[in-house]
Amino acid sequence: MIEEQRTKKVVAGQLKFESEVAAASAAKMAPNRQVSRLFDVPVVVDEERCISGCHVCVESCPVDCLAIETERRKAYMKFDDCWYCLACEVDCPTNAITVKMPFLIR
Amino acid sequence: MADDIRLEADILVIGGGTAGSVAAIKAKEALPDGTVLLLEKANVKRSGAIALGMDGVNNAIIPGHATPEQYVREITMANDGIVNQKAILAYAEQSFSMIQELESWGVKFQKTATGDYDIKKVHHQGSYVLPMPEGYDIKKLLTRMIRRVGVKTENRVMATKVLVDEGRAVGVTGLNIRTGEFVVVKAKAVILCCGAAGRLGLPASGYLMGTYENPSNAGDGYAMAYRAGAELTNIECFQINPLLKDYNGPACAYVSGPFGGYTVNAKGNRFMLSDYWSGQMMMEFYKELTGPNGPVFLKMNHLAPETVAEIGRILHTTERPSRGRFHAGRGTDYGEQLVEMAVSEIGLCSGHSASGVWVNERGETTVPGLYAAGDMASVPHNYMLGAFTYGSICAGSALDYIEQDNSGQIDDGAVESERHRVLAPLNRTNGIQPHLLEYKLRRHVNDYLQPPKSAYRLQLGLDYFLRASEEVAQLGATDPHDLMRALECSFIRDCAEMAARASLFREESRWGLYHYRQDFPEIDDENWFVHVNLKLGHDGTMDLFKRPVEPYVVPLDETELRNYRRIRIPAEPAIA
Repeated sequence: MIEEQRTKKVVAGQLKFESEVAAASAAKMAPNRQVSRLFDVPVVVDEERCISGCHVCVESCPVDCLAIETERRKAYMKFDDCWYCLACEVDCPTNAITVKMPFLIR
Repeated sequence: MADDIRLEADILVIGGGTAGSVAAIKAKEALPDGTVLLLEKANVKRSGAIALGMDGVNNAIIPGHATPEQYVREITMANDGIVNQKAILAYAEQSFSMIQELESWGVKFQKTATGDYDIKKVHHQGSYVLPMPEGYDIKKLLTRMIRRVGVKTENRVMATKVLVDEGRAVGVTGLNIRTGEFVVVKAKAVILCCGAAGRLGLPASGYLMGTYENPSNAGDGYAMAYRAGAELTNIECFQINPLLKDYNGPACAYVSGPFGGYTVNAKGNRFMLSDYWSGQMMMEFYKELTGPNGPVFLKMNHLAPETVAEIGRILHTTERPSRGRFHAGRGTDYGEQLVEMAVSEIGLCSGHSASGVWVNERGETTVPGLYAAGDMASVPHNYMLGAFTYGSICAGSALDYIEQDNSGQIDDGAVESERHRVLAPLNRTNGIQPHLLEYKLRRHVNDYLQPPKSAYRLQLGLDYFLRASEEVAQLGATDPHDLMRALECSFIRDCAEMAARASLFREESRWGLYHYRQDFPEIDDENWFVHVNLKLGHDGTMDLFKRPVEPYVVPLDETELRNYRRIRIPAEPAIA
């Protein structure tokens, strides 16, 4: 159905889809969805030092933005919610974490 | 769908930050055989406004340094007279024993060489600031006490609704933000300690989580109390704080002030008599910031290098320890340059201003069985020690209440409809992403509610917040974390509507910048020497009404009441 709508003749200002909702649905399927890990994020984990299976930092984070990556079992910043409070950095038993200022306030 | 988690407690505390930790500890100490349950959205070891500690107590009333009556007078002035003095007095009288109790838990306060409390003067009139040089570990000490006395703790559970039976609080529903499980808790009494509405305005940086308040505090408590039928008060008395520009954390005048630091304009001149945070002070700050001599700076470069180093040591280890990192990145050295300041986004927080769920001197809200303490309860300028003290007061009141009344029942229908509301975004394909709606809501808060206020702007803001209910109903979420953010949008929307309506209702200006109406620029004591309270009406819309100011227990004369309106340093008279 979306293909059909895409081939319709496009008039400037006119929605190519039946509705805003249909347009959003098509946008969701677009192949360029990005993974935040590939970008500059405030919480930087030194994977050499990070202890596999430890989750002290994940428990410390007040906004719950950290998680343990399932394959290597190392901590990483999963959600872009960092308050730059340093709880993870202070509580990490091996000093594996450095928190940078989020770019917008750096 | 996974089964609900069902829990029961004698006393249920929502939020394990400053107030909630103490409420839970005190309740459990008095109920060794009962169940005290603490629900925490984060993890109690690092949650709330003091997750990374606090550099001191801003409102200590230490015998020999100040009296409770002096303190009540000062806070009455700082709030232009609109206070429930009994509630402030209850704090003032009980806070010293709270300090002593905290000491018995291992909290250290600064003492002089002779062993006296090392009180500093920051307020306009009296001396109430007590530094805590090792305040960075205060949350650790509280967590240790929570475990020692046997409080049952559920971390990463966010409360979503207070359940009510025949007008009385009988429990809450919640969401485990990691597993997505729906939680139902039955309790004989509920103490809300959910902190400020910190994600109301959008910081000037545009960074959603770059808030002054801990961003876990999205106004959950304000919205839940409102939905439960409780009265809220002074909502139009916004929190606006003078902060480090961009970093958006406190500078902090209370730390550097006693060492000799102070606020100056771009010419390096002092323009305020007192750096203590009040609406009147913020008005002078704002005028200078936006005026020809702006912006505004914190000046410490006249101090001895040892003094600067000591200020840095406190600022870079406690409360917001990344301050040092921020300044290093900008190349700012406190001993060399002035430190640029700006105003924060608006928020609701009685800890610094006066907005909150209406409570009396026993911490009771207007809903039986429901108590509130800390930044979300209406005792003004209450700060950390106020949260501790009212946590303790609420525990005492809740203990009395459960002695008398525990017959409430949970309504399965209400639970079912709340489960549906809470989990709906997970099943909504093509929903709106929570961070987008949050950004939109908070941008509108900045556009229309941020002082200076006027009726036209406030009304346009209100129109949008009402329309935003439909947008909240279109939110989608991909995982439990996202679902938490979606539910927070609903809290933020409720708080924004309250802020718009209360600001429209009070047709005068009061509390300096906090409620500066350009269309009603003067204080109008004749018509507005009252609280503006609001609550959920029977038809589901918001009711606003005037609530008289309770008769003062500590009288002030007319001149005293105006003390805080004279914060600006007067221009030097011309030499004759």
